[in-house]
Amino acid sequence: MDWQALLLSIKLSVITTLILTPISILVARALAFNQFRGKAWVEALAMTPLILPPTVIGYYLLVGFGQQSWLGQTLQTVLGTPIVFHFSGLVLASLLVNIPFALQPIQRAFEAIPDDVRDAAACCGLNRWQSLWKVEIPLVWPGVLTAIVLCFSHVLGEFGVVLMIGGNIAGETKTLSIAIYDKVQAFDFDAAGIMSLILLIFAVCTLAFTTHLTKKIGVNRG
Amino acid sequence: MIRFRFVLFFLMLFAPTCFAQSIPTVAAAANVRFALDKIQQQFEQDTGKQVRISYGSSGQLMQQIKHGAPFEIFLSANIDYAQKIVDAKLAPPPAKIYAIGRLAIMHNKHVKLPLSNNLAYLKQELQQGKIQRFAIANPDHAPYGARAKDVLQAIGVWQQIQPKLLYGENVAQAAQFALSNASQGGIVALSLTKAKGFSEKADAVAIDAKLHPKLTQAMVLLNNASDTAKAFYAYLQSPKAQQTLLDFGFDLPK
Amino acid sequence: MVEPFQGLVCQINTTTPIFIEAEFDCRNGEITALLGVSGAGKTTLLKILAGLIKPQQGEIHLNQRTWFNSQCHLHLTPQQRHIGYVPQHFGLFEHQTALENVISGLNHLPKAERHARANDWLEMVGLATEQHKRPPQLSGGQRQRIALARALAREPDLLLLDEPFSAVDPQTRKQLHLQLLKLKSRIHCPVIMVTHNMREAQLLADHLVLMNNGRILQQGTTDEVISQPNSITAAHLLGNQNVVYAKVISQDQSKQTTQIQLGSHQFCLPDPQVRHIGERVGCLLPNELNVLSNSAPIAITLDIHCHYQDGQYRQIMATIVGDHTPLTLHSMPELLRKTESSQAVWLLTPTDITLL
Repeated sequence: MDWQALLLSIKLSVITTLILTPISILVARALAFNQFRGKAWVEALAMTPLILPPTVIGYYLLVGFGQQSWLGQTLQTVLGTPIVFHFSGLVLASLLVNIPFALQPIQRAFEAIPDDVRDAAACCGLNRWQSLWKVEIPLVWPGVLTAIVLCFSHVLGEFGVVLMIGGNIAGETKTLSIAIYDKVQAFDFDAAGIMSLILLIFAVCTLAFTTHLTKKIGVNRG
Repeated sequence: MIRFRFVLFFLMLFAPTCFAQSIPTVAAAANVRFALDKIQQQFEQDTGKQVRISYGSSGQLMQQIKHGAPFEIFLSANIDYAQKIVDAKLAPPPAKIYAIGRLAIMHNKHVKLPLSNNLAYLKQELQQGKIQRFAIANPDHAPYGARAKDVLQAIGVWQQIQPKLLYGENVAQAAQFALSNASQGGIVALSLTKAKGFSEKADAVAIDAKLHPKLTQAMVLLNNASDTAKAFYAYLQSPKAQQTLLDFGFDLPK
Repeated sequence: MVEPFQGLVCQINTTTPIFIEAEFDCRNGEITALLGVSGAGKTTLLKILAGLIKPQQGEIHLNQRTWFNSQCHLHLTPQQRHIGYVPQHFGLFEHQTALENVISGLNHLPKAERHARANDWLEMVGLATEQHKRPPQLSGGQRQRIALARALAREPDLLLLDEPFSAVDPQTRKQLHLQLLKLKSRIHCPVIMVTHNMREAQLLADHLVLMNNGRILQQGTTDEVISQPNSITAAHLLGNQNVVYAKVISQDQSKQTTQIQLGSHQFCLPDPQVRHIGERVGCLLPNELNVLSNSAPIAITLDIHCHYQDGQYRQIMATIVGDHTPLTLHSMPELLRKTESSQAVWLLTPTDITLL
């Protein structure tokens, strides 16, 4: 059982979700409430990670952010550490790959808010931030929760991208899914089995917990 | 109270990885895994220092290093990939040969076919249709795969066996395929067949070294190497490490 | 010194999101109804007044304060206008209690006062006991009253109601009408109410603005507009379908009367407008068939084609003898029974007939 790998996976999931959720809320709101030229293109772009194979995404990230690229070198100067083959690279990759998972449910939830409610909020004297905080977020909360769960579990199981730009470095980029893969190659099927089971139980528990939470919120609404 | 638990949780998340960052990383070809793991343990016992090892196919590791992967030592399964790193000015010459690799033919215990060091039965078994799937490492970037292909060509079965081949992404994955019930065996690194518990699950026979070009395994110490990495690099050439390599079926360079 | 107008003054001209060309005003404390069919532009105009939609050209002033002026590029947001708005489906915040909903609109008050003010208004609409319930737990009528309380508790400079009573059943609607009438004395701002129900407009509104295809057809006091529509379209919108075409026979300019031929009848009507001989003119006739009035000098013979019971009234389909235009009339059942034949004589005074 590779506890370091498990912790690394959880750390990656938590950090990615924490960064992506607030950004997604704001972007989803902007997309839901505004019509502008090229909106369809923006939405299609946001969906691209869904249809691209993770290894392709990993490859482009490697080429685009590797130390041989301008972008990679700039980021390295800014952040102080290189991106590829480092945890920060995994975070960046996870953020990009999970945009559709975070954005979609939240945007649908915002779109479902009746116009009347938004109009009434504005005419009650609530400015955009007050409206977001007091009226809209309580209404879109199930969508946000879905996004958080989808994001979290997707990152937890992320393999293809991590493999491409991670480098399987213990404590840095060796997430649980990579560790399982590694154990299989070392013929340590027992360890692989245990880790897979833990990952499964963790994922199922997270799902059950959030489903329960969503129902509870629904009940509170009366 | 809840806030405190939250903070603690976050500290826990960051702790192990902060610690890990100071330990140097070694990139090693998949075939040396079991031998190198043992050498790593011995190194830690003898010097108290630690290294982290990442295994993969030599070709892939070379690409990663070229793209900036922070490895400090690269143990390749052939000399070419190690030389490419030197040519790219990422490591000072020369690439040091640390072992000569050997191939083995293997299958799991459920497959009731004979094994020989010159693959004498393989042609017949193919003609009789007893082999549906056969595993080797990917010749494109795994040296052991390329050598396996050489062997199969040398005994004249390449055309027949090619449509039935399973390619492992590295030689360890090839061994995993060869172990599974989905194949009737494969050609893998001899060192992998020396792993603990292997003999309970599968049979293997070393392949005659004359059937393929030498598997000259070379390593380089990269430019960014730390003192611990340098120490490990030297340790790999010590008699104790060499004995371990011999135990796992490698030959030593003259 | 002319006293400055206290109330809402607006002049709007725009083509997005739809075509609107409107100019009207409304005094403080008065209710103006925007009446028209769906798609007439009433809700859009209401949203323009609220500041939710920005028109291309025009001005909106309230109590001498400018809310919108296209020339000066001034456009106040809804938040800056301090209005009360009740959308068609109430727009309540489902996750908050009734009390919290009303408090939502009171951010401009110091925290200490909000609770008390919200409580007062909930009491005034009769929902003090339900204040801790959430909208899903309340009936349509109760939800409407919360929306109203939320808007009124703000003591807004302008109250906007978008078909406030259309989403509830007729019984509840009557109660809500009564509620609004009772509250009227407490409302000191102009009230603009969108409706497609003429009866509602008659009941609640002081002024009526008739809208069609984004334009104002007619405006004035409710009584004026309903009794004297100025065009056939206006008449139709007000529910009067009885327009018959007559021919001008002669005019007397000194007496300001016109002699017309209607079917096989001829009679004289007061008419300030100048008309040409032989001109075709539309006549708006009442909806009610009156056969008893002794003092009515105009008698029109009708061919009755069919009649059926509708509630208390008898609905009649008839034509004027000599004309083919179908007329829809209603009358008390007893009156019709008196005429066994398929004809009836309709007694009218000159003021009953409007020349368009």
